[in-house]
Amino acid sequence: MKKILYLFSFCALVFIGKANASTASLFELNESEVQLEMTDLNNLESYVELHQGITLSDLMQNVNLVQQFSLKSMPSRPFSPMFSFDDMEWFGFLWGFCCFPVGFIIYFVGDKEEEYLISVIIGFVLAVIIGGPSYYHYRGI
Amino acid sequence: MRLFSTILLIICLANTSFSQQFFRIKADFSIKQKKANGESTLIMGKVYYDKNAQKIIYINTFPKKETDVLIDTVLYSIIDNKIISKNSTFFTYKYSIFHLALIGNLSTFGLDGSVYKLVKTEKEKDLVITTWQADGKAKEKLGKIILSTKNKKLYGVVVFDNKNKIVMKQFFKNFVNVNGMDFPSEITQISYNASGKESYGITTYKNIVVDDIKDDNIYNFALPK
Repeated sequence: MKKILYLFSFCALVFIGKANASTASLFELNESEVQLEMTDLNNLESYVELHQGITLSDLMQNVNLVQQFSLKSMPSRPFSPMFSFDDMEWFGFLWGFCCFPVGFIIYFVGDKEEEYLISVIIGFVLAVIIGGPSYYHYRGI
Repeated sequence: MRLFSTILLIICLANTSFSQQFFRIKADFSIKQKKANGESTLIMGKVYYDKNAQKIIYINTFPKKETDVLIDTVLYSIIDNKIISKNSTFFTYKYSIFHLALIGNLSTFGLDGSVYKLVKTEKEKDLVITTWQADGKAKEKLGKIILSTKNKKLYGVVVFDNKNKIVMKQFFKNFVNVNGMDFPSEITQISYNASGKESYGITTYKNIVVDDIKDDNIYNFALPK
């Protein structure tokens, strides 16, 4: 009986320990991993600080610098717009374009994200814009 | 009578220092982002915020010379004194680090008095961890937020979606005290996309000035017509 009680206490302690660790462990940050990811950008930042007033288009004119910092075009604003091309859910867009009621049903039944709904609406609006004049042209109106 | 006046003066001065209100902040900033898809971003420049004007003004010098002004949830981008774009964002000045620091609400990340309610407080090692849950109808759409403070300063924020999945973590580091106001000079952000891949971001602030009395025309930036 004693052994069972010890075993039970041990399991309870392990469980409590794990439960406590789980909340604090959310705030563990692997600094070296983040810094490793940022190496190129840190180097670019130091270069820009040294050459005050230099812009990306100035840097792009120098092939060596383009290679050194692996330069590509980059966004210039601190916030993203609410919905961008990258957020488009193409499956939703196609449903919106071809048969929007099905797209809406999938949104409500399938517990989809808002990006899906926006994509369905964009697809639907595009279908109306393209389809409307074609319909009237076809009917000879 | 003299003694009474002296005591009254001391009380008034003490009261003034405790209720010190900050109203402006400016700093040199850099935002570095490395997205899960490999896309990199570096934005550098100066940022200005006046809590009475309620506008955040970013004067960017890199990647290009551009001024971005956030008014309510609309971001105006201006080049050569012309508005080149106007976009809606999810962001508003009220929950900006600048506003929260000026009104002394940074340690609760502005959640106190919002749709979020404090549901749990725990202490572990040097962290005080609080869990905040959205209230009422917002509960269906918004997940919980867990905050941690270290030495009464905000340390970390973990944002969950309504399916209890982590969408973002932020870490506030290297606090500096400027004119009595604490402000983090570095913020590390890790965001997770739908497939769980991580994107990293580091925002740094240098040359922080609080309650600057110059540059009125920038703090009260007038949009070009």
